[in-house]
Amino acid sequence: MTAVIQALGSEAVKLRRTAFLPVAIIFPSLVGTIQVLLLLTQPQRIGFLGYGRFAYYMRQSALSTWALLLLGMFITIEVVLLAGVDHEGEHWKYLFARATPRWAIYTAKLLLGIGAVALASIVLAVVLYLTSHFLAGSRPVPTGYPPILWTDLAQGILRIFLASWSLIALQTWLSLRLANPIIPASVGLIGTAAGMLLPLDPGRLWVRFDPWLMPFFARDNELVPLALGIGGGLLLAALGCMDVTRKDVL
Amino acid sequence: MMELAIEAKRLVRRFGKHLAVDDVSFSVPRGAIYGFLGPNGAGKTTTIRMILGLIRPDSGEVRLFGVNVQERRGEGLRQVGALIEAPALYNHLTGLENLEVAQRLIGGERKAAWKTLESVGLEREGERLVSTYSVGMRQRLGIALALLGNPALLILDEPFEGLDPAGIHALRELLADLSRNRGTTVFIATRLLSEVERLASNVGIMRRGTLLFDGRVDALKEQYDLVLGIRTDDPERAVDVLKRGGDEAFVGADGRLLLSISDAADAGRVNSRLVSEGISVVGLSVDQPSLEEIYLAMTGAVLENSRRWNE
Repeated sequence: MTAVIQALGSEAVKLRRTAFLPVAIIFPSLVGTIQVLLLLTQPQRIGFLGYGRFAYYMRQSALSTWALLLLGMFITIEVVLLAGVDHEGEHWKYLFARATPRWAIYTAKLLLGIGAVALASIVLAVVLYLTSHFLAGSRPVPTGYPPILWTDLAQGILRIFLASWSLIALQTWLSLRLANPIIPASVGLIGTAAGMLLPLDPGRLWVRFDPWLMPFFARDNELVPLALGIGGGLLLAALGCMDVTRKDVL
Repeated sequence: MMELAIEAKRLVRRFGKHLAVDDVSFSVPRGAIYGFLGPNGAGKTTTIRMILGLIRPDSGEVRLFGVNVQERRGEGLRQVGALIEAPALYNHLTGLENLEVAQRLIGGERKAAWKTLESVGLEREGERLVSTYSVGMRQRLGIALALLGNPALLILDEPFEGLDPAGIHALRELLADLSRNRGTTVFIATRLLSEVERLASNVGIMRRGTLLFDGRVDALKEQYDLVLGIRTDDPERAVDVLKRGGDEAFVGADGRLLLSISDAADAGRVNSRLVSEGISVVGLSVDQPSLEEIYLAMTGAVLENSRRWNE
C-alpha cells in the first residue's frame, strides 16, 4: 500500500503544468453549456415537455450527452496523457529500474484515471445542478418548473462513474502498453462513435457488454451494465497489471 | 570472502535469432569502480538491463548484494541508482521537480533532492524548466537522479556523454569520492577509456555478446608486454640494426621507435646495441600498454601499429 501511495505522489508531480486537471473541468462543463444552448435556442422543446417533465428531460439529456458522447473521449484524453508523460522520453526504464513494484506504478496510473473521472463527475454534478437552477429561472422555461433534484442527479452520475471502470481500465492498459498514442486514441474515438450508433437498438442485451455503453445504460437503474462496468474494470486492471509487470523494458 | 555488489552468472539473452549476450559471468566487488567496456553492439546495454531487472535473461542469474534480482527484484534494486543511456527527464518540470518525482517514488526527505542537486552543481538551475537545460546540464541531472537516496551501487551507462571537460573532471572526482569515502560501488559502461583507466580498479571487456576479460586492471595489464619507446637521430637505421639483432621494432606516429619487451632490463641491452652501432639515443622510456591499447587489441578494433607490439 505504501508503494502505491508513493507512486501516486510521484505521478501527481509529473502532472504539474499538464492539461490533466483543466480537461477534468472543461469536459463536464461542456455538458452544462450544451444544455443551456439546446434549451435557449430551442425554447419550443420546453413547451412540449410540460410541467414536471423539464427536470426529467434535462437530467436524461445531460447524462446521455455525458455518458455517450463526452465520457469516452474524456477518458481517452486523460489516460493517453497519463501514459504519454512516461512514453515520451522513455521513462519506463528508469521507473522500472527502481525498487518500487511495477504493479504499484500501474495501479497509481489507474487510480489517477479513476480519480480524473471522479473529479469530472463532481464537476458535472455541480455544473448540472447550477445549470438546471439557472434554466428553471430563465425565460424559455415557464415560471414554477422545478429544477433537477440533486439526489436524482447524484445517483445517475455515480452510476455512470462506477460503470465507466471497465473503460478506464481498458484504455489505461492500452495506453500504458503501446508507446504510440495514436492507437489508444483511435480505439477511444472509434469506441465512442460506435457506441453512439449501437444504442439505437437498446433492446439487445449484448450492447450492455460494450464498455463504451455501460455508463449509458447504467445511468438509470440497470444493474447488468453497472455490475459489468465495475467487475470488468477490476478484471482488466488485474490483467493489465500482470501484463505490464512481466513485460521486458527494452 | 570478498563481498560482491554484482554477481552475474552465465547470462544468456537472445532477441529472435540474435544472440545478444552469450554465457556472460562477472563479479563486481563491493566498493570497487568497475569499467564495463566494449564496442557498440557488444551486449553491454542488454547486460545492464538484465542487471536492473528490466529484461529477463533466457538463462543465468544476477545477484545484487547477494539478492537474486529475477526472484526478489524490489529488494535487489533497493540500493541501486542508475543512469541508462540518455537520461529520461520530464521537460515540462523543473530540475528539482524531476528529482521530486523520483524522491517521492523511493520515499525520503525533500531536502535530499536539493543536496543531490548541489552535488552535481545544479543548485542554481534547480527551479528552471528542464526544457531549457543544455545537454551537459541534462546529463548532470540524470546523474543526480541516479545518486538520489545515496545508493550503495551506481550503474552508469555512458555517464560522461555530453559533459564538457570541466564536467567530466567534476564527475570523475565525484565518483572517486563516492567510492573512496562512502564505499559506493560504481559500475560504468563508457567509451571514454581514459576515464576508466583513471578511475576503475576492475574492468570487464565485452565483444559480440561474450566477455573477454573480467578482473583487476593491473592484472589485465600484466598479461601484456611492456612498450619501449626510443628517440634517436636515425630511426629508420635503428629499425634495421635492431632487426639484425632479432628485435622487431617500428617507427610510431610520433617518430619514436617502438618495440615490445618482456622485462624493463631489456631497455639497457637495446640502448647499448644502438649506441655501439653509432646511433645516438636521445630519449628512452618504458611504458605499460594503456587500457585503450589493450582494449583495441582485445576487441579487434586494432590499428596495425598496436597489433605489432602485441604479437
